[in-house]
Amino acid sequence: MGRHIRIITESSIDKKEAKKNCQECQTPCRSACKTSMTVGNLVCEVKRPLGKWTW
Amino acid sequence: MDLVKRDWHPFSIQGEYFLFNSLGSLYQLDEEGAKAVESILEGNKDPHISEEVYREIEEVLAPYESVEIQTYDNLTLKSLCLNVSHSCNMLCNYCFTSHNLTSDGSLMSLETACKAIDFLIEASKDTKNIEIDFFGGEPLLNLDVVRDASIYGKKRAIESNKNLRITLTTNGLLLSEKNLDLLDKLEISIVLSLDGGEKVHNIHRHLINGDGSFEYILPNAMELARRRQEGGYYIRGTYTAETLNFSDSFKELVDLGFRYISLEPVVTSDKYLSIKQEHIPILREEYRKVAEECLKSDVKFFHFELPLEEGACLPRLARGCGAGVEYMAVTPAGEIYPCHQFVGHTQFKLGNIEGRHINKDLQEKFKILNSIDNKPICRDCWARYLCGGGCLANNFNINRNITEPYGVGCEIQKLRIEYALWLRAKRLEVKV
Repeated sequence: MGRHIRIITESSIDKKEAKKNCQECQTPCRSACKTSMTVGNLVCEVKRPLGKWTW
Repeated sequence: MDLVKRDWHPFSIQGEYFLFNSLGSLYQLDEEGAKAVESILEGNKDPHISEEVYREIEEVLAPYESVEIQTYDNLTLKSLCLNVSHSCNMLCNYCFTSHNLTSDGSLMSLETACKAIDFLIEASKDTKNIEIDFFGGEPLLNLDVVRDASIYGKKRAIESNKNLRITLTTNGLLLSEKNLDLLDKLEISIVLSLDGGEKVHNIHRHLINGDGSFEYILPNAMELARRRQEGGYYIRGTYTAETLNFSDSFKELVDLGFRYISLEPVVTSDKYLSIKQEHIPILREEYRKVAEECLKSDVKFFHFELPLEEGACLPRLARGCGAGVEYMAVTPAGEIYPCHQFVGHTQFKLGNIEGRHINKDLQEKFKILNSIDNKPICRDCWARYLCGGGCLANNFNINRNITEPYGVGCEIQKLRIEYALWLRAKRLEVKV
């Protein structure tokens, strides 16, 4: 860890990731928002499969 | 070193400095480090900052290079919003359905609901995870169709080797124990509209006779939360220009025992209710307070839940909500619209479930607008892979133009993301 900058979270996105697109994650405008779409809330179903509930 | 400006966002919260990379990495900086990053982004190194600081920053940030996103044309429908009821047992004065055809009182027949589900199953092709969302009006006014369509959908999903998730958005008035038993049995996720405590909730959410609805809804909402402590529900509130202090509502909801909460800005052109640019500093403070509350507890505030490490892949993040392509809404009459918010605006009618005719030209327009690369303002925005390019319906509702971004919405989105990132940093600090 440096004195002037420290990593909090490292992205898991790399070049390989950029070519994925299995389309198995949810649509972003889920009912918990329904008026302000946010793709950032999406969970990758391959990395973390959701259970029976929507969230 | 050169950093592509649109890929980096330096920001500070309460005297702490952060740097976010659009692909999802987050860093904390000290003051000197923050100045150095700013100067790198401006393309002029600051002679007052030592080379040692620059070297350290370059070492950490060097692994990053721009990623070329592969775009896809073979997108399939995977989510349908079924407006099973265009009738409502409440009369909320900010409801986006009140002023158009969604308040015509009609109910969807089981036949139409099943045809819509067949359409989803077939149009989703090889996609395994599909969704339906019962919406309205108030969907529980058409409970028999909700029940029978859910049973039919689950059966069709099993036959088709698909995984169907179901959600229902309700005002909670009819969420009796008996109805909740049924929704539990059918594993239907629930979004219940509650704006906060009694005073705030009753400002906008009225019964048909004009009385406040809080006292009738709260017991049902609390029973829902009691049953679903591990998830499967969200309490969804709306804040307006008249109720900007939504952090108080958030605290009230937490105190009432709710653990999954989403508070959203109203989308309206009503001059008394709409959120305006001058409200942004107030909202910044409100989101800060909510973030601090979240830090003290395990409550999930929907927009602060950014699964950076487990989030969607880049091609998905580079697309919007999928309205009109991956996501569509169906009215009781079987008309198809790009999403629930476009329902009733006939210029956006995509087709009809009968005959499954889809206006391909209109669909193509939505497909193009779903890609952030096709939106100049979004293309150069640091928040693009968390926002996905904003809501086309909001653009229309505010600007009457789906291609013109809703600027205030962009501001809210960005400050919300900053506090989500701050919260992530703080939670990790607490864990250490």
